Amino acid sequence: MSETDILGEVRGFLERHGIVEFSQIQKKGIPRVLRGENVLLLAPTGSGKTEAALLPLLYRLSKMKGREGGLFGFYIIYITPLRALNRDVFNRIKELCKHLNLTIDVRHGDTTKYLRRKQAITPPNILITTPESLQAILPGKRLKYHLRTVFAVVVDEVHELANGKRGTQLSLGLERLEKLVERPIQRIGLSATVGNPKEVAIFLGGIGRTVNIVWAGYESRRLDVRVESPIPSEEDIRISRRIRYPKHSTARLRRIMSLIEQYTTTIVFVNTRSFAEVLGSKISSMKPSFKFDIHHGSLSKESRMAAEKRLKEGHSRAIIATSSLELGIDIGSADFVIQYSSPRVVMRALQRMGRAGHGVRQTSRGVILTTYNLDDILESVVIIRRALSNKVERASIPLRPRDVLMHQICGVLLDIGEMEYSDLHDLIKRSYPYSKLSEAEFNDILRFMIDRGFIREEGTRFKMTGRTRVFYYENLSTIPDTRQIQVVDITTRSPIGVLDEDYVADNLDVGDVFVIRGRPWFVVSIENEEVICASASDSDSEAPRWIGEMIPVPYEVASEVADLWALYSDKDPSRLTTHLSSRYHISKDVYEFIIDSLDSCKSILGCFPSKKRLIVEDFGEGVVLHAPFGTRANETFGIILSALLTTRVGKDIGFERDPYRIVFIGEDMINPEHVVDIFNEYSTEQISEILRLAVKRTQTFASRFIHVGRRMGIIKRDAKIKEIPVRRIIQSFEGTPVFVETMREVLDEKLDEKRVISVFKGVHDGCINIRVVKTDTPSPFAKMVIEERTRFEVIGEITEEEEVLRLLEERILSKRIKLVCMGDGDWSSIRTLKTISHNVKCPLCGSKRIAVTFPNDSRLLKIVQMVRRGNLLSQEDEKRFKNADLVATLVANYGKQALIVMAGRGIGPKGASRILRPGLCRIDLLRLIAKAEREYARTRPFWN
Amino acid sequence: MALVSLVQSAFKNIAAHITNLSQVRDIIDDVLSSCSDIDNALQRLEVKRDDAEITLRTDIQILINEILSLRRKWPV
Repeated sequence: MSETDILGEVRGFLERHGIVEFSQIQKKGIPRVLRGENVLLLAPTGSGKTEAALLPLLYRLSKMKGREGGLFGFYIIYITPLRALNRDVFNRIKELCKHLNLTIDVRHGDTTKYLRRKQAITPPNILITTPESLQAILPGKRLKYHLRTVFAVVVDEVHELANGKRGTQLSLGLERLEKLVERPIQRIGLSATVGNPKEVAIFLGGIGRTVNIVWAGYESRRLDVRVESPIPSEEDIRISRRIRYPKHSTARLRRIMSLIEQYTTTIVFVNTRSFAEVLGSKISSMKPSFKFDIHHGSLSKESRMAAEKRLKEGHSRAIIATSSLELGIDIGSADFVIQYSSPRVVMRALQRMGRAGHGVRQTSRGVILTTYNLDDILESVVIIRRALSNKVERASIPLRPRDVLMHQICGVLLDIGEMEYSDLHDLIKRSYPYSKLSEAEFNDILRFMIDRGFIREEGTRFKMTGRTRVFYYENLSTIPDTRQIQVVDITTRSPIGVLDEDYVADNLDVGDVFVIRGRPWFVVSIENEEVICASASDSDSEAPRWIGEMIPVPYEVASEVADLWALYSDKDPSRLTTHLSSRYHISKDVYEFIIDSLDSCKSILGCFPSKKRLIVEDFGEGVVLHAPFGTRANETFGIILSALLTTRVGKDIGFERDPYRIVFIGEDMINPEHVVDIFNEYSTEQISEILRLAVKRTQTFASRFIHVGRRMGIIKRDAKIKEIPVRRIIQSFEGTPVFVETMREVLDEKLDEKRVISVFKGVHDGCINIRVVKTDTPSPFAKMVIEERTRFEVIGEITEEEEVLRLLEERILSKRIKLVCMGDGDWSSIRTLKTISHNVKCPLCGSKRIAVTFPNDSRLLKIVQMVRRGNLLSQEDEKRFKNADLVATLVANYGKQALIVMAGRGIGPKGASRILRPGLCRIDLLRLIAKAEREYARTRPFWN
Repeated sequence: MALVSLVQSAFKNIAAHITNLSQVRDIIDDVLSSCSDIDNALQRLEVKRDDAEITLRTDIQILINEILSLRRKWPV
């Protein structure tokens, strides 16, 4: 039968069911799927990929039913990464299945026991499920039998799964399924956005199977996206004072509200859960009657579903969401998307913008509202350009993860009871991520499992033990198992949301106020599984901050931003303006800001950093390495260089990084030539070795080790993070598969060793040059990393107590404070503590008498000005002035140490004066702060 | 393939997947003693299936399914 015949036959079949016209991907994909080919269907969001895969499969199944007189078992497995997507696909296809007299059902973690049992007794012909649920049913006694009829598997959003361990597990799961079925299963992958389709196709098919790639519909995709950075108007400034919010942020907030009012349904995407909360809280305080919802992964399921329902039914006009709404949850059709701040990666931009006008031949309309920050603006325009030309990031497929391998070996043995060494090795190597698994690596993992009783060895055969089944079912999910603590409203006893265990342990105490679901809450008590809270009225509290949630900016985006700087350098501003307008779709109001900022940078640095030119900027209090290589590469540079600089000067050198630069700060001045020396003197082999030595001392390694350890059965899954002696465990497991896997995970997922090595090589070969620039104050480029609040890493010998104190220090140093000159300077400045030098003084008058207050306090400076003018103060202002005076005295005597102490939780100037004394070393100071914080936490409930 | 060997092969294939092993074995004995051809055996199994409680019903359905599948591979 020719393609036309096949298409005609399917079309007739569909016309009878009301589907009259195929989209491009359906035209190209359906004949191939009908022919039984393995295919990867690539088409934009909303172009009908699901139907392109399922219609021909249903057609085949319907024919099969007629031929065989009935069906019994699962025949088509449809896998999606999200439970919500399962439901979405089910709703799209159930009517057609009903017409064809085929049964279809959904199975995932939320499926009731009753329904599961029902499926075991009467299996649906089409099962829509998640990768984890497939893992759960593979060894099931009955379900395993029902799986033997499977002839096709569809993997939806395959790029999303391929990009992590869930995909690795699925890849081995498909091999297990095929072994069970004992014949080839047709594999169909669906994706809208993937940068490395060939690799993803091999991933989908495994080794030895051909998967054909079918592209369609990108040329007709309609994307109408622009970049805006609103400039504050008089009205914005007036409102900003009332709601105590920065004027630029207020301008953005008002722009968001005005856009929401222009459209019927708007999704406002933000990059972090905490920011979703902040934005919601500010919108509420600006206009309490404004109807909107908040949607993120830390809200309870009930809250999220209620928000989705309200939006779908038109009760709210907007939803502020994180990635929780990125992938096709059915919330009806949004007609506009606002992305707040750079989406950081192209894939995310496409997925988010695709949520507006989600359908064939509809235009996706949206705007990126950037902050008033050069990086944010240029990064956003680069991402839009790359999105329009479909330059999506590669899915980074984890290769040979040991924890998944261990779990799947248990799975194989549960499926078939026992297996020969060589058969097991062959089966695993058919999965693409393990195709290069060496015998030595395989033997290591087997030995590790035998030693811990997860499997046993009998000659050349491997068998199950009493622990195999429990271990397998306890570890079905590869998603990092961060325990979540439920937040409960004390008055209604209803769940408000969930917080990560790490966050609760590090940041919350009884009496603290935090924001969740856009409202402030007061912590009444913290119990094992619950944080009990009561509604609080003050909305100036901080929203929960989830560490590590910011997505990294890839090298391709960061380096293209650097190309834009170079363009400015090479061409006159008007040509850049034209270029920005035509190629990058940037709106006019941000031109001037871009030009001014670049002008200023060029005059200070002399030239711009690029892929071929690193700039080391020495601004006195620290050194910035300008390196536009993306987040992961810069994190790697930071770890290596800070470790080597620490060794060289004998004192801790800390670093912060963003995708374009790294700042190094120590107690003393850092010689910028030392940075250049490191690039010139160390071989690439030495750099790799140093990186590994330094990585294992980082907090990232420690927290990853806990997750990997849980998945590999050496740390109990319910063990509380606070109670795990992680440094000791790491030491005793060095060299084992747990350690190897943690190192692989950190190096592959968090860092970019390959890029860093290539830069070192480039410097050695003379292809990359390094230039040292001395500046009096940080250049605008440097300021962006100094002022950005990110993680802080200190490399050095770490003991148990030091580790705890370091975490305390990290928290304190990331605190933002406002400095106010008590002398003649009439100066105030909002700073992050870590960016302040040891000797704190006013840059205008040189006074060392500096008071400190919280960032949005504008009153103190006014009080100081009134005192200077000789005005009388109210009783309350008088009290505040005296307090500030005491603070300033402490700062004048003890410099930054005084600021650090007073940044401790519950430590005021009187408490600080009891702690501070001359000659106090760093560790002793931190110990005293920790003690004072404990005392504060213990006594706080009695104060109220 | 003769009826007896076909039914026995089917039972062997499904034994690991069913819950009511001894009851299914008794049903097979009964069917083999009373039926001479496969269609007849299948009809008898269907009757037994319809009268059975829910888990046994699934076990019998699995057996019927396996017999059909083997018959397609090796027509009697």
